[in-house]
Amino acid sequence: MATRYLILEDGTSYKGKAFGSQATTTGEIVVNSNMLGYQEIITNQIYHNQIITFTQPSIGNTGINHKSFESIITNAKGIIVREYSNISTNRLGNLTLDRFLKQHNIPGIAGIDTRELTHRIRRNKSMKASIVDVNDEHAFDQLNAAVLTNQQVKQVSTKAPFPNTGDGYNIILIDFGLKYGILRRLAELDCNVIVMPWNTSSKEIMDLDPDGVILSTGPGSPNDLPESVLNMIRETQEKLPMFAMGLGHELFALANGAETYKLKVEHHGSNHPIRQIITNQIIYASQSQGYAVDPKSIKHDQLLITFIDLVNGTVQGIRHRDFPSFSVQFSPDGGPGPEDTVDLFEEFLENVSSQRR
Amino acid sequence: MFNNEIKKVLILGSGPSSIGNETELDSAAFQMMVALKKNGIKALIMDNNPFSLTMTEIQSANTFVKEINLKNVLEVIKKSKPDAIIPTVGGLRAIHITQELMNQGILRDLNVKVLGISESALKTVNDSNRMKTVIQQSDEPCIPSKIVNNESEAFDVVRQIGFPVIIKPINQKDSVKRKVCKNTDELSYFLENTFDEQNKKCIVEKSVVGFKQIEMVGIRDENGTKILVNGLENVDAVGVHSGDSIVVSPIQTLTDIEYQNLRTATFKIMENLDIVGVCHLQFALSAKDNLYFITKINPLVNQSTAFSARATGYPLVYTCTNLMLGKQLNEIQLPEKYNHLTAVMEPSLDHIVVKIPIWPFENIPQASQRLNTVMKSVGSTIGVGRTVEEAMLKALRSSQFSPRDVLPSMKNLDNDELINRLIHPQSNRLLVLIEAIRRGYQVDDLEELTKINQFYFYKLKKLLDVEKLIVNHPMELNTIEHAHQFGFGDGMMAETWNIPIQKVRDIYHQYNEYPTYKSIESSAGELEQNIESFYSSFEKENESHKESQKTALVIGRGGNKLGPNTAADYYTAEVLIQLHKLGYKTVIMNNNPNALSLSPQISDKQYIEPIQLGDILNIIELEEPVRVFVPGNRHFLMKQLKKYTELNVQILPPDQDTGVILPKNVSYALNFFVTNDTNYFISSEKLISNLNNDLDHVTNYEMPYIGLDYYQLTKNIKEASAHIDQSNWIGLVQILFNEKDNGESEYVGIRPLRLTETIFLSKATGINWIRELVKFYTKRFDSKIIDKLNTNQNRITTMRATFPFKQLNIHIDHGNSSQEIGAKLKFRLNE
Amino acid sequence: MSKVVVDKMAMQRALTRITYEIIEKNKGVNNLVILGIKTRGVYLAKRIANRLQKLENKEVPVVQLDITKYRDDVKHTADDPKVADDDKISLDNRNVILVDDVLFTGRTIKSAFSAISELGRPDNIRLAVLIDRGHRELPIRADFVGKNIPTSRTEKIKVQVNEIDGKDSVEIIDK
Repeated sequence: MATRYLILEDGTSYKGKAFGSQATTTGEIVVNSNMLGYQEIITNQIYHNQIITFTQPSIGNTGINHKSFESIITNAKGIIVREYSNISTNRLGNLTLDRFLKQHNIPGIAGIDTRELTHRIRRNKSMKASIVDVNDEHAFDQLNAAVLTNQQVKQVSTKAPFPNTGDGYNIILIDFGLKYGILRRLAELDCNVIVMPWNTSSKEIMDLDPDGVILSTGPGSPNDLPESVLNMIRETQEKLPMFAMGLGHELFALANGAETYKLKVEHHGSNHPIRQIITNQIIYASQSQGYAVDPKSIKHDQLLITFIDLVNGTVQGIRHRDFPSFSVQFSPDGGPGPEDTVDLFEEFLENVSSQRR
Repeated sequence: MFNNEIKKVLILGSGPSSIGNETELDSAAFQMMVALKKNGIKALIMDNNPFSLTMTEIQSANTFVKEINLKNVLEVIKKSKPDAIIPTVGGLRAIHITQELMNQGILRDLNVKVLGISESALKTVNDSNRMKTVIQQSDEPCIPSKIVNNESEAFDVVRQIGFPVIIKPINQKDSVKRKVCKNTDELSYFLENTFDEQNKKCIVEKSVVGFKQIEMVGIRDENGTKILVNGLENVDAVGVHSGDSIVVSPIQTLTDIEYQNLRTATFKIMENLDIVGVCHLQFALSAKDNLYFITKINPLVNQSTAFSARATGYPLVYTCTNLMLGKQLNEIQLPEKYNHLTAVMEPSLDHIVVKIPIWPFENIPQASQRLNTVMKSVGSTIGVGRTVEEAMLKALRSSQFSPRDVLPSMKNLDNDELINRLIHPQSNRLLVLIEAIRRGYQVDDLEELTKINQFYFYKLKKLLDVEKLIVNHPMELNTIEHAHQFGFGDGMMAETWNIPIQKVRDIYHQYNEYPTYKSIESSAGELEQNIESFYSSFEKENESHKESQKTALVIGRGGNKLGPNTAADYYTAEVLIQLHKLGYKTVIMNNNPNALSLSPQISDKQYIEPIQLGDILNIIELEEPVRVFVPGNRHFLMKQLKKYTELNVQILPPDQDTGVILPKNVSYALNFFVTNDTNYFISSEKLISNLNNDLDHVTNYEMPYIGLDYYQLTKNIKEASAHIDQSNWIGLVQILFNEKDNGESEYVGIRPLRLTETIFLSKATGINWIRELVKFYTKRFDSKIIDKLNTNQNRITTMRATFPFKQLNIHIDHGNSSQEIGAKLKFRLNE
Repeated sequence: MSKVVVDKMAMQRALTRITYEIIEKNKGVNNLVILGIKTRGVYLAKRIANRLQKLENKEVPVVQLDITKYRDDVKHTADDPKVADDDKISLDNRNVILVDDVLFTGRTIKSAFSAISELGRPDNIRLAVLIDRGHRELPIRADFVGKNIPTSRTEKIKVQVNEIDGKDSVEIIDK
């Protein structure tokens, strides 16, 4: 394995061993503390623009399998690991992580003190980083000059509607960077799903006579999306039960008068206790967020807070007072991460069935 | 809701150590006691294990030295009137007694609650039918089985569940043994030839031999909040007891989907059983499809929960004690060094822990070495590292007790025997696997033969590559750097290159390369906390810094073997406690996951490292201890350490290799505390051998020896004192006597008092002699303690060693002291 | 034979959703009184009130309603129990949520209306039930339904709540 370097905006340089693609890459560096599920993480569209550091030191152990894709196209800019295994030991496929990364032109770097890196990232604000062949001044200049796109949703969202058929409720799923876990959970509940582009209007939704609407997770800042998306949400929630998650949740909050902010340190993991306000129960969920809804901005005559993260106090769920619409910051489908929150999909369908009566 | 009604609880201890129970239960009881105290609850303890720290740390008025059985427990409950009893740190024996007390309605009548385990969970332990019901109620899969009456019904079942199947007799007392049938012929043949014509009633069960074994440890609070503390991957497949398997944490070869299935299943079972506290589940996973079965439910503290606490740094026992008192996970106030959120964060690890078992076959060669579903190992060691290879090699180095740091070779095995051992696992499993790779076996074939995931062969292969690098590129910085990354020690390189270890160290030290120590904590670097438990790596950031100007380093015993080992670990714990009391900052180095001496409450800092010269020197260079204590005899290590003359090293008891010739026959001894100017007589002791008067077979002790009359004793003391004066011995010294056939006794030898007998002496005299020894060697001994000596001859203390023969399924009449696994303590009055 | 149709999780979820729907319909919890029909309806009512309290930080009164003396299928005596345990409560101009475990023929609810009339004249009454099993004999329908479970008349529905039965579940029992 060739020697390559990970360089950070703060001037730090790490020597490591290259795997995956040998391309030079630049992105925002984030830390993910899930112990398993690297395939789900790497293929999650929310990592568009980002380089992922894994805290679990041994990555690649089971290779790549067909059940763990959260999207077919992966948009992560790179991955950083302590140790990398170039094998595939799972019974579902023979593709190794290395080959997969090469196919998708994603560089990886191994042999990094990821614990030290994690401490560094947590101390600093979010930083840009590059994986490069040479860690000279030029490389740092390039890194500092790099501007990351804010058009992620447009780039990852589907251009045309497509169905995922079923015999049950007719659900519209708005794709802001669709995570396949959502489709899997809806398929388990036998929904007839139509996936639509991020800029779908409420009229286009209503024309399909759906029973409910889901707003998917996605990459980037909710403020980078135009007002038309918020209008779609406002108009649709009055007519249909709505369930939003991740970026969708942030947009749902914006549409209902709340504000969002960028977290000092992005949080990617599934170890935080999250309290469900209404039952006082604590659950664990797959979280990956760079932005959060500001609790002070929530208009209490419009929204109820339903979930709170006990570690950083962020709002993890809200619900509309007047309509059967709700949203969560985490990924209720897991993938990777706990299944504690999967029944939110059932809750959504109960809202749907209750409306239909 | 915090339960205010509980003011006084009785903890049922674990009794003498045995296979499957080392010091982890006592360690848990100790931590539980600390947590109970914090909550203002009085803890009583009942145990007859002389090597229990909990027994020492609880006021003697609240301890009951009695064998744990139904009659005695009932007696103690009636006498001490606790509000509740806690059976979860007493192993299965305590659980069974509690089941019995509950079934007989005794607890209800006496208004005594059971803490730490729910009624439904208690009923499920060791009741396979109930376990099956619980699993089915939770909508989870248990191993399919059915009672059949004839061959045709048997085949009906097989058509449903497929081969292989296990055929079990209905009546356990039947002479018919269970049998695995892999195909139609085997099944027909077995049914035809084993059972009589009329009655073919038997159980047909799906065989999961060869399935992957996974263990999960979860906790739950009263409000239903559940955390998965740890997942354990057994490297060996079903067929080898999980206690005899190499274990890796966190789980390495499952996908997240598989993992989450098991996590959810664990939670469903815990919910069903209304667990408040800890629960350990075992699973069998098919290697071919997504099939899994729940095979065991253990709602109590055991070696897997102890390993999980050690591996994750999660304060498991402390948390569970609070949970059983009715607190919720987010309400628990942890000791200061933890982040206040640690208890309620689901652990996420950024290190890897590997556990390797230690078997007793060296001391008991008669036992079958074949590993099966009955546990045979008596101890284990763990290695912690930042890569699987590093953790695995550290665990292996720790388990091998080779002070030279090189791995024992298996090259003498012939090929047939090697294949046989790959298919039928024996002790030293990992070395056999390494040998197979060395001989060029292909990974696919190895996976087929061993049912071990090829991931591990791939890792072992990488280790061998590095070994080759060490051999072929000696004395190069690059080689050393690589070797360190993969967990090789400096001693191994020194041995291979035939140079002093210091030379190896000089090569990398001159490039300013030193080990970096990383904290064993459960948030993967997210939370700020000061957990003082470390492992080494060679990376960028070091998190452990010199503890103080007055640090004492104590070098633990490592993995348990037979002989005085659990006693040695208790001894080590006492040394740590006393050093701390004397104002030292204490640092312990050990690698036994079950070790009492690693309980975070009794030292200021813990290093989980191999006990080998290079690793010890690394810590010494960082901590610069003013004193080093080495409990127990380790000649080779001592010889090496003594070369570093600037170190203040004290071995306890003092080293015996200074030319002591021990007698063959003994019958009693006198024990002295010897200072530079005085010999204090402490007690006489009857040494009871189970084979004539053979010293090696002395496994039974009585104190004082009431057979000595005053005249004889006075004469012996005088004689002994003279021998002491002639010797160089100081500290605790034992003078051995033998009674001849004519009734006369003669002096036969002198030796430092052994570990086990030092503890025994403490129990008998009411003075903690380990602590006095520590004071003595740190020049803080005050002879006034001798005045407190209990000279009451009315109480006789006995200690009887216990052996693992029954568990190993062998019969040995005369166990010797190197085969001891534990001991029982008893007091009686001299009538 | 019995079959679990609603487990603990599903029951919690149903109560949670009913709580949210009450907030939606009632525009908050102002002026709200929850009436639980004895026995299990009371516990469900308390749980809903508890949830409302957690969300809105406001105490919502719960009244236990005993309808035995209004049932047309029960013989009455002079010492019939009181309608409500709480004598002070008046339902005048309040928004009432009536809570029961199972909605079947509707006769229980009709009796409840009579009982309510003794306690005042509410602005409106809404009905919340955990289970709607069909087979109505009166023109009554629930505003909030936990779960619709179609049943035959001969089947029995058994609702268990943790507070008195030690567990949360709904089972169908074949007669």
